[in-house]
Amino acid sequence: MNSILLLAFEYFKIGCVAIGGGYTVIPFLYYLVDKYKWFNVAEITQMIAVSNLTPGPIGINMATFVGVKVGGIFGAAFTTIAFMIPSFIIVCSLSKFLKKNGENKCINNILYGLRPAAVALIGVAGLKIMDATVFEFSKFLKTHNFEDLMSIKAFLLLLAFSAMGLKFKKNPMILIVVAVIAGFVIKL
Amino acid sequence: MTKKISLLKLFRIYFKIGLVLFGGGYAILPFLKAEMAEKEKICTMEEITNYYALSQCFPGLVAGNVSMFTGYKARGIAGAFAAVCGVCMPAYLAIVIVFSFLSVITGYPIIQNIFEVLDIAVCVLILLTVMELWEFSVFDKFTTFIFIAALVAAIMNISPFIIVISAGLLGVFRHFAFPKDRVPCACVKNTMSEEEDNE
Repeated sequence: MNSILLLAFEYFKIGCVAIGGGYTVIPFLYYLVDKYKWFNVAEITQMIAVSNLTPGPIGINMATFVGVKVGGIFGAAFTTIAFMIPSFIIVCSLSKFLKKNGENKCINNILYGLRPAAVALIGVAGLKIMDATVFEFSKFLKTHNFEDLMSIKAFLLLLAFSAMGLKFKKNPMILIVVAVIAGFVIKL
Repeated sequence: MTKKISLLKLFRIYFKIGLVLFGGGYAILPFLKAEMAEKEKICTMEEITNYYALSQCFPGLVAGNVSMFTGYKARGIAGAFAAVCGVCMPAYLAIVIVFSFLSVITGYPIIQNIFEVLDIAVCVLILLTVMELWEFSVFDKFTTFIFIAALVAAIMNISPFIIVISAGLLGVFRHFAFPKDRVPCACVKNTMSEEEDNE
């Protein structure tokens, strides 16, 4: 029970600061891994993949996933609700505020500063996943063995997926389905 | 223009949208336009686009925020509540169901291999998200500075909370240090132009 409350509180905090959609939550998941060891890094990418394959907003999928893992169905409900409370309050008060006052320069300035930071955080999360799958810089730095640096097969897949991702930008589902098929056929 | 719509109906509309929504936040737009703009005539296409831009700028999920904005437009706070419950419910149920399967099947090597390939696809999706956000997030000296500082801090494993909050504080600092400067912001332009039209 304790860990459910703790997770809900962590997710409440994430809900307060995660700007720019579901993927912004990923860096915070890494932070949770470091801090609590409720799940591991490999499970984060698994969560992202499953979230892409299931209906609904990715952020909710991931919040539910983490919640189920830590505290079952109840944990999941708590986590998801805690995650949505901040944005619920923000959207409602913002709607009211904008109806009354229009724009506010201070808010715009804050957002102007926040967004590049969010982009950097997501970028680093992407690089972290890449480091574990395609390249293995962290392992290479330890072993100095060039075979550890890069998996050719994974790199080719990365190129192919990138080309496809650019083509089907609006529909990430296609990429995930193709990746599932590729994973069935190609032994990595 | 706003006509009363029952909360239950609002919930049903968003539940339906949540059920067919896959992937990132922008996937919700065509559904919202079809349901809320064309069928129910609660908001206009322009309003939905503005809400979308605002949702990207504020904390929370883009799909969740857009739903709440449009729900609020329809029925105020209760409407926003019905909308967010509706859009989140399918996602919650789906994961609860999938999770019980997942723990059974992840033992097989073939499934593990599929997840390894999926990891690469996830990388690509994350980088595409970065590209998409980049356009209206990093475009001048101030934002480039914050981007680089946040990048270095994130690589050094500094808590993301600290990074985001410091970036917000820098924004506050800019507001008071350069009160005359205009804020260059894609989302602001979007909502501003709507107001100019109204006047």
